[in-house]
Amino acid sequence: MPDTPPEKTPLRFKGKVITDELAGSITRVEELAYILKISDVMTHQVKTLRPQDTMRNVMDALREYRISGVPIVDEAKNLIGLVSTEDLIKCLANQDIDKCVLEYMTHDLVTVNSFDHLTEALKLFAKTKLGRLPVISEKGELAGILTKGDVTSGILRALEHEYQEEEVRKYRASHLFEDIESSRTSLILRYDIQRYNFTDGGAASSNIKRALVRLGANPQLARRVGIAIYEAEMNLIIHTTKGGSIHVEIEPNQISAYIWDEGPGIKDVNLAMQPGYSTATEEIRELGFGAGMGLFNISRCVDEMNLKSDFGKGTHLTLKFFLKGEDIMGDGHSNLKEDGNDA
Amino acid sequence: MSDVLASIQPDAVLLTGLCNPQVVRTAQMSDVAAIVFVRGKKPPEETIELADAEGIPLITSPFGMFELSGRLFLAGLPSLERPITN
Repeated sequence: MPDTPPEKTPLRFKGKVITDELAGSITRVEELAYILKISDVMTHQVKTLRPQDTMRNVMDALREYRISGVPIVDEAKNLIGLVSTEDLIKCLANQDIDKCVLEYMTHDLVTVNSFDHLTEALKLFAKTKLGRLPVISEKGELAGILTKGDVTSGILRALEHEYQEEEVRKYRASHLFEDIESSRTSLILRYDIQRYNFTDGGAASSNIKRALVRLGANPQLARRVGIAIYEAEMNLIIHTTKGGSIHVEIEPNQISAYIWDEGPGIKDVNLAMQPGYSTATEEIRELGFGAGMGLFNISRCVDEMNLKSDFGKGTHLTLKFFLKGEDIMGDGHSNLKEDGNDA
Repeated sequence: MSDVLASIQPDAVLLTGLCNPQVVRTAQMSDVAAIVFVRGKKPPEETIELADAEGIPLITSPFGMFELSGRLFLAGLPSLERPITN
């Protein structure tokens, strides 16, 4: 946002240079004004009248549809003008109710394009003090009407939609453990990892991290688990002969990850654990991997690590994360001081 | 990439010359706020798509790694790298 020219910024920033500080205070609503199109929020079904109609028709329409203005369109749906309540009052004052709408309608209209972002309309509302803007489609036809009320309810709808989607997911997931009763409840996520599949590399750990966040894990825990499993996943992709598997078992008070493959195995586990030691090829290094930090990184992220490898047979890696206090999962975000004995 | 995972703090901006999707994955794992590609590099479509899906902003800078780092540092940007200790 900092480089956005002033005329393209939300109204309350108008004429100001957008500093980082200001950019940081741009709200989600202001952002939405740049995301939503006018066609997303406008009123589509608009009562219109024809040029041959009379002001009496306007009065009837305003009464019947409880609206405050009527657009006048020709046969091709092109907008010719608009009769507002104010125009009708003028007409009534002249006792001219049976005159043609063409006599009283406003000709020079400020319009907006249906494909423009909401922010364009907001600028016009502020500049013109108008209450409604006719919306013109790409074909040049009248597509709808936009009032300030449409803008408000459109933004509220968008906010509600975004909020609900993620909240519903989080709520469902975070209550999983307390909603299901068993002697010991756990959730197991299984992933098959293919050798040299760099396109999907990291997809498993990414999904695991997302699952943990939805289950109510705090960001630090999700990060630790995510990094450790990502390193292990990349090891399966880079170093194995046939790929491998990742199983993650999530329990309210601990997370276990089992990562194994069927070869080639590690010659010297102690050496492999040393920071900077790597057997990766030049090709792998060019992709940004093979710095020799993987296993060392894993060890820094986990509470327990067990690495067993038989050269020629394969490697088994077990990782454990112990959850304490507020890290405990499935309590629906509440801060359980004590775990209780329900696990 | 492992160095990033090992040493970067959450909400940091990652400057890199690598453009593959793994950069985005790495960024996502280490809670990086945004990725800046140096030397005017434009990442491939799959990198952009992944960044879009994960909500991580991508920025391209015409400067090289050294000059960009220097400019940002002089402008008062602190380092969010922490030393790797066992």
